[in-house]
Amino acid sequence: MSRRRQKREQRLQAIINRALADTQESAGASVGDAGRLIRVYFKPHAGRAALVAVSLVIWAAVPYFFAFTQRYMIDDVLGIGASLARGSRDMLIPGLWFVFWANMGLHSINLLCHSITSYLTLHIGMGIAIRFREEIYTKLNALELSFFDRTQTGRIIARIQSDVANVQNAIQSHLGPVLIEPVKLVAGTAVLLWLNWRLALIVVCVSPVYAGVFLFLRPRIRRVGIAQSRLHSRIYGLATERLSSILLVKVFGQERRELGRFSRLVHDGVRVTKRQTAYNQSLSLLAGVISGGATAVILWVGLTAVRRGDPDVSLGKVIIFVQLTQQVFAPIQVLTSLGGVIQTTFVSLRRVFALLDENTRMIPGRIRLTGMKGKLDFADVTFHYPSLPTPALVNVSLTVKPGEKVAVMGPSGGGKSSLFYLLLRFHDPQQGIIRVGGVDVPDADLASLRRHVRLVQQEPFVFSGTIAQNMTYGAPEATEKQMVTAAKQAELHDFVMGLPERYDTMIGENGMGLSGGQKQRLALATALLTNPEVLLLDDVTSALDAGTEAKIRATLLECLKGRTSLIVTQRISTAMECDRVIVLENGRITQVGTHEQLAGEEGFYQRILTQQNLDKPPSARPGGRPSAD
Amino acid sequence: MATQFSRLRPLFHAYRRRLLMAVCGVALFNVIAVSPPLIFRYLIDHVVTVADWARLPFIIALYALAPILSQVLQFFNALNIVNVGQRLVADLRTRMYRLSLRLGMTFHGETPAGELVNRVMGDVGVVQQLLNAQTIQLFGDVIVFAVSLIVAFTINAVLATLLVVVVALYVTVYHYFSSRIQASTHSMREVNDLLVGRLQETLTGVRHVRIFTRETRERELYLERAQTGLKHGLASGLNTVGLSASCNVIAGYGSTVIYALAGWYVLREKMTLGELLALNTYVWMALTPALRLTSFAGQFAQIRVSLDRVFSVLSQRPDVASAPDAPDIVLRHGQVDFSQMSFGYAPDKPLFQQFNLAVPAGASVALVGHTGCGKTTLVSLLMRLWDVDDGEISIDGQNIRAVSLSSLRDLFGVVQQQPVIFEGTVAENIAYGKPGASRDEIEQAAQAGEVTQFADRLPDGLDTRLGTYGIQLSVGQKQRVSIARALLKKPAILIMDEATSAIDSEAEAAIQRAIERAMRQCTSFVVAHRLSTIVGADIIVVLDKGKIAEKGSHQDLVKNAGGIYKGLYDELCKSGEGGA
Repeated sequence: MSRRRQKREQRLQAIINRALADTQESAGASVGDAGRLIRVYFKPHAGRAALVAVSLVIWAAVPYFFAFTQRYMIDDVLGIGASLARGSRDMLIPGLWFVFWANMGLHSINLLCHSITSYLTLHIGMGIAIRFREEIYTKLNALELSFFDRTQTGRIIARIQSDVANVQNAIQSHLGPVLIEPVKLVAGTAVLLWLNWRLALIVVCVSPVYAGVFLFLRPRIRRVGIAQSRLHSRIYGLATERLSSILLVKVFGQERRELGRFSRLVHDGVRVTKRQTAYNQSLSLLAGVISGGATAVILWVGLTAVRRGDPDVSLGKVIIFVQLTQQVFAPIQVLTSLGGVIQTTFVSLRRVFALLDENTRMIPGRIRLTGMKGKLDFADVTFHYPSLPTPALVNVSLTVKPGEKVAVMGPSGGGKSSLFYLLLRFHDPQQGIIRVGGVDVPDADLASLRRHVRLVQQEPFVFSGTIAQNMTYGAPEATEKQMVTAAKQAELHDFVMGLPERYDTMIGENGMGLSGGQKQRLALATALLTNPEVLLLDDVTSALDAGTEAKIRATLLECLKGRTSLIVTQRISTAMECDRVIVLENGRITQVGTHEQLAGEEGFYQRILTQQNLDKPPSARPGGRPSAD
Repeated sequence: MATQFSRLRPLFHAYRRRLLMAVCGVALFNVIAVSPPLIFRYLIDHVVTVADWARLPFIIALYALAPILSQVLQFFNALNIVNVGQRLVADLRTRMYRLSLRLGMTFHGETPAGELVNRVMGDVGVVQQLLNAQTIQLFGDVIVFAVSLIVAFTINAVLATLLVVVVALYVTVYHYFSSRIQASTHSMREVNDLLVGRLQETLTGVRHVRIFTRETRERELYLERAQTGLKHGLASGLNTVGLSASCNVIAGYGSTVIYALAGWYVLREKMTLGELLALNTYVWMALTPALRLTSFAGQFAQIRVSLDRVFSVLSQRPDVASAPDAPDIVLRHGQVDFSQMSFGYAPDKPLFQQFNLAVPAGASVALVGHTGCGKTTLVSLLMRLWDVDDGEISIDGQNIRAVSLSSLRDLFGVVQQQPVIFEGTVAENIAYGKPGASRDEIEQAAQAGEVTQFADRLPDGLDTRLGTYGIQLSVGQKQRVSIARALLKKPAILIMDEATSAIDSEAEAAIQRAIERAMRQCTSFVVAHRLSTIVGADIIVVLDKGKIAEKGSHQDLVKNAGGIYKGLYDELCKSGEGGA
């Protein structure tokens, strides 16, 4: 039995350790966070917070007044009444009325304070939540793209949604208790000491026992709390990742294993939560035992004093003393039961702050690019992604003249996309200078930079919405005529016209699915609609069939007239139509020249050329599969 | 509402013993918890007032023991309840996730992943509140309430009746507010769903957003929705405040009236002091559970909303499923037949009508045609991602709808057009379709898919972490990983959906050789637009709007001047001629 228990304990610790080792999540709570929350986020609500504090103090004081009306009732109305003859008791009726009105008044104050507190904390919580979300979203907009590459979407959503909601909840439901219970504890003890210091000593003596146990359990509760919330966000992340790519899971028949993976994590969560409950319940058990014991001792000491006829101790005093003892023990219990909630709140708060503190080294420039001639310069640019050991681009120097069409070729992973990302300032290079229209990219206003230099991605993205909404994404003010023109240029119009609701057909997650080629054409149309001076095309026809591609190539050439363009491609046919070709291999420009020049030069380009030519006449294909006749 | 909860019954069933234990424990706990005022009353009336001090130690011991005992009970009870509650939630989540995995592409096409995860995690979390310590305490509350009322009646019928009136007022107020709370909670969730869905999209497509410099607009859209959500939340919060304020008024004023009247009765010697004190405690003992019941009302309303959303998922039935006793498919050679097949994504827009195609075992089929002509749909139907509307698809003479789905899917190796990389190492990603694969197999597949070539340059080779925790691959690299993933399975039927579109020609040549090797050993379907892939296929099927426009080997089709294929071929050749 004990060995089984030992094993179970080991397993639980392993789960907790694994969850804590999750480096994606920031560490637990820190005291500074509370200060920051108050300094920065509560400040605009200072007036409201002060009002909350005042009403909380009044609210906390009300039970004592109740205690005194109670004592008055017992000792001065009913106690005296018992010693009077029945007929003369009517003189005590005003006393009764006094107790009645006093209690009514106290209840009214209670109600008022409670309502004010709830109402105001509701508003404060909402105000702070919306501010957090605003700041987080602003932060997300400012963050470099590498952040999104290394952070799961689900986790970012968890920050801006659940973590903020946790903090909001804590403010709305737990701020009052957290602020007032310690005050109640101190005030309650003081009142007890004032009422009868000997009886009060009993209460004062047992409190340290409780505090000791609490201090012993606290780090454990904290550890478990953090482990639990991390497990939770891991489950969230896993489920989001897998359900977003459900097709892959299905075609590889991995449903059962995925279920196992999910279920294992969920059950780990169950184990951790159970342990958390055990810790919390131990604390309240202890509190119950201590308060029960202390009450008994107080009653014993108090009532024997009443029995002796001690002039300082009346029955009413003993009774309210017992009642007020609860005013001391209750805060302890409330605070410990809140311990867990406070803990998770601080974990959430830490994660929110960690995201807000995420480094944005990129400071956007001020120069607005207007009517520049689309000249692009790369001067000795070296760039590597922090997570990769080898650089993506090494000493790249390149000048693209206005209106020039340059094909970019090279093996995958050679740095072609990185070249584009740097031009758009998704990243800053470690070395070298990039200029667009003569302006250093870091000095350029980001919005104007990206308006002039438009990238069409290889893996296009589609929002759920109508085709029109997707197409006008970059140019919301575009007219329908402009939209149709762009669609025609991208060879998309005919396809759209075949749809039941034409440009109003819903696509994306909530609508119909598009094939890869359709998405690429949509992306192209979207970019063309914004009428950019510089177009960066990242192998945008890779998913198109040959026929469509040939048609697009013709119209595209028309569109590219007057624009500067960099075109990543795998196809010689496209490269041939460009003014120049550059070859990027392992981050270096290995070849530059026209098609004719490169065709005669030994290297990557020639190899590709030979290979693609070999593709052509079927009879000449070596290594090809013999046709099954 | 009753039906909602009765649907939970099968879930509860497995834990009925522990639940019974929990309810009994709570009952016992509360019976003990209600006793102190009675003991106290005895202490005042029969010990202190009559100065019969002999019994004092015994009574005080009893008075102290009651809360201690109830706390001990509470301790074990809470552990039990949390245990059951957590396991139930784990059950429910697993059940929903299992169903989500099994549900067809139609469902997933309509339900964004973010929203689904929200239901599995968020809403189930809310439903869990049905089974936590506070909720089980409600059973106890009922007991406390009943006992308190009964004791109150034995003390003074008039005052007890007053107490009943107060409670009745409570219930009325509760009904008023709870419906309002429920309504605003519901709208809050609707807004949140919308918001999270968009958030998910903008984060996944963060490059797209930035390319078109829509960051600010997206932020405004988000904040606008977040604010609407919070406003609904505020409305629900205000109603909750209103509810608890009204309850406090009723309870506070009611109890004061009862208290003062009790004092008057004591003066008239119709009650004792001990009775007054006991009654005063019991008034609160009756009202506190009622207060808790009302404050739970808001929660309960939310739980009902969440429960609705949970069951709206659970009530889905997979549209593509095999019968539980369906036999596993018996693979002989890998012959594939589409016969008289009809299919359309929407009932009124058929894509395929009476489509026929027979593919002999071991043949390689290239699907050619304009974008949107049904190439991807055809292979999706073969894998039974959707069910055909009419006719049938069979493999080695077995209708794919008559065999078990898992055995069917096991036949295929698939390379998707848009490669997916999961969080994990390169090796784990390659072995995704065959979890038990040996290191050797993985390395071979990596070699064959030309993954080794770039993996060698990664910090930990094949053990480099990808995705969330690790590095990002380029599209071409992702495609190579997904090719290796398909090759590792040594599938009976290989499906490649424009699998090499983003791979540079040089790497493609090498991959092509590997794929050709694999293709020689199985039946294969290739959606492609590179001549090298198409020309080598045994059968080229030219699709046009869901119909087979042309079919045959390259040599046959190319002779057909004026045919679609010939046109395509010429275009491709023309684009390459200049280089010759």
